[in-house]
Amino acid sequence: MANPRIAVFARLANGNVAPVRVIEGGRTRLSRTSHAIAFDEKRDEIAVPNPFAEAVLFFRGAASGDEAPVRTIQGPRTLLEDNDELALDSVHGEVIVPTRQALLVFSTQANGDVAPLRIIAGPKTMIERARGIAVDPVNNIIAVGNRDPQGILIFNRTDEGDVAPKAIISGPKTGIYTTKGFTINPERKELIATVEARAVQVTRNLDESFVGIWNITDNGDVAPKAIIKGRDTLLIAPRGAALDLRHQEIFVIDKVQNSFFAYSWEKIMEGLRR
Amino acid sequence: MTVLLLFVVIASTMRTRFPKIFTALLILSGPAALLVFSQLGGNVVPLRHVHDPYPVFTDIAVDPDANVLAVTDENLFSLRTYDRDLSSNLVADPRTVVTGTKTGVDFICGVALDSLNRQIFAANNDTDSDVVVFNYDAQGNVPPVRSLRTASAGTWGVALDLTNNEVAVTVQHINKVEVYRREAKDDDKPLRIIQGQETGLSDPHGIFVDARNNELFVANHDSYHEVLTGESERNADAATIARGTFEPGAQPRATLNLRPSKGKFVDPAITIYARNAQGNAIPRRVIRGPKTELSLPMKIFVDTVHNELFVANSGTNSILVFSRTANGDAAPIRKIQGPGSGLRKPVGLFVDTKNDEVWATNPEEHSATVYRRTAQGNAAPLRTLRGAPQGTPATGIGNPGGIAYDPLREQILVPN
Repeated sequence: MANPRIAVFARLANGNVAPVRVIEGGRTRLSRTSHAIAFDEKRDEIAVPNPFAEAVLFFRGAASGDEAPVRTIQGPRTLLEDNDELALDSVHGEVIVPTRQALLVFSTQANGDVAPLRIIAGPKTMIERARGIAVDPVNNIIAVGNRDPQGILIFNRTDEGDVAPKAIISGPKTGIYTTKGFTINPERKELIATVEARAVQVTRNLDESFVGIWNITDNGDVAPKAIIKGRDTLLIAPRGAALDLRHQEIFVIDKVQNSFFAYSWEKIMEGLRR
Repeated sequence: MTVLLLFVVIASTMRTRFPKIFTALLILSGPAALLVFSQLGGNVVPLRHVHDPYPVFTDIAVDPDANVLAVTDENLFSLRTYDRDLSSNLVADPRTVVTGTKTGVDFICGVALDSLNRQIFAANNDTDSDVVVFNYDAQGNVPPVRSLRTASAGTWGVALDLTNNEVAVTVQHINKVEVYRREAKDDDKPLRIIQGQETGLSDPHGIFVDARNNELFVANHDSYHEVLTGESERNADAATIARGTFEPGAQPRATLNLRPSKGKFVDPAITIYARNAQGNAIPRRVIRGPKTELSLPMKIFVDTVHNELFVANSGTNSILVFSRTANGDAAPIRKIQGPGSGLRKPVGLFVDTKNDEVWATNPEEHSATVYRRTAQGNAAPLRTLRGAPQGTPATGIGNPGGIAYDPLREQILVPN
């Protein structure tokens, strides 16, 4: 049920279970269309976009019920538009928000009508309707899914202005029709992207979409080094992905299944191709 | 033995750097090794899977003469009909279930019934953001009688005006109302639209056409961004990707246009227009303000017999009732609310004046509850229509996009 809310589940939740808590209600300022979420481990906060109000909302990590955000980035100077995704860098205290053709970087402490700290935009960037974003604060990269060229653009974390990506993962070997969710394992220097197969939201076929794992140094027409793909995975239209490094698990949410899955990272790595 | 040899051949021809130990294991352990191989290539069984296997009722409509009740289910992507007078606390047996890839039923939200032509109109909110039309007796994985492409994304509410033979929808993403001929289909253009800065539309959901008094009502949420009159979905390409029709290079690159953001939060409101309003129309009346108690208003319904406006007020677990002519910061004249009512984040709503009843859906309870039309306070439902056994939990996940992990609490965060 798409009531505007953030549902919070126990790590070991399985089956048809209710969330342990829910952030919802008029004070939350959530809309029904927040396609991304990030947790700031350092500040114990949750960041979520509200594209219909061109805002980024920050909540306490333990927020529950009809609780107002602790901060909101919103206003003319923010340049926010169509901002339904974001990535958060807790090490450097920055939140990166893709719009249709730009990456806007704000301080996570920003509040109200504030200008971005940096903007990555312009023809050299090749950014065209970013779909999915992740930041690696250790290896200093930003990975963005892109519509055209179809694939993944990789920028230096501190890039600014009209700069070319340092790498582009794109081409038939990548298997990418469209990407949606990203996460990065800085220790292993791996980029994890959910890849939606063509028309799978209409056909609802299993065994077509996948989660791909690339090295963050990959460039060009490179196949993923490992994948989560196949009928047993139950994936149809994977969207966001998140890592639990302590327990070596990856969580993937699926739009068509209206559900999320937990997979063993160790099991995935058994299929390592390179 | 032949099977094992075949496995060895397959293994030796794989592109991957297949560890020799697995080949040896395969020969030695036979079927057990087959299990191991099934996990290679990424076909990994999930450790855990959080999923609600039951229908979640979103919107509701009733045809009292035909004794038909229709609900949309945005969890399993189905459109269901039941007997209106079904009285059982068990899981209800549907008359019909329309679901499957041929149906065009996807993330389905609004529903309306055409009692004259015995047809169901339902609006998809995502992927195929179309209005699909089925006959009352449609069943299974069958194509709609017709479908109408109302928007590239974000259609939510649907309302029929059988007096003027029109159908109206709201489009969330671009703050828009579109009015079509009732029989419009495919890429037919709307007869008129309401859209623009003066309209007061903000993240619109429920819609109702009051043909008797020549007015059109819209329920608006609190998230506003500026959309100009006639502006189409800026992210229409996202819909082409969802449908699989996107081709790189086929569409011109959008020009970079970083402009001052105009997004803001506004109070939720019911905006009321002349029925034939169009363009950047100023509402005749606006119900808005703290006395109204409006919070995430979803479906709305005007009872033209008793001159009352009903609102499924999701944010306060209530049904609010206003005078049909209410304006400004007007308090509800009554409300149904309280733990005994069974109302929980109501979304769908329908007033059945023939049987003097009001229905609401409670997605998080997998139920629809019905009350006397004049009920107020902590009123118990007259009947409850259940899509799952009483007390069944609901994950509440709908059309999800993001997920995050909180390592401090070992919890998983999922926004809708």
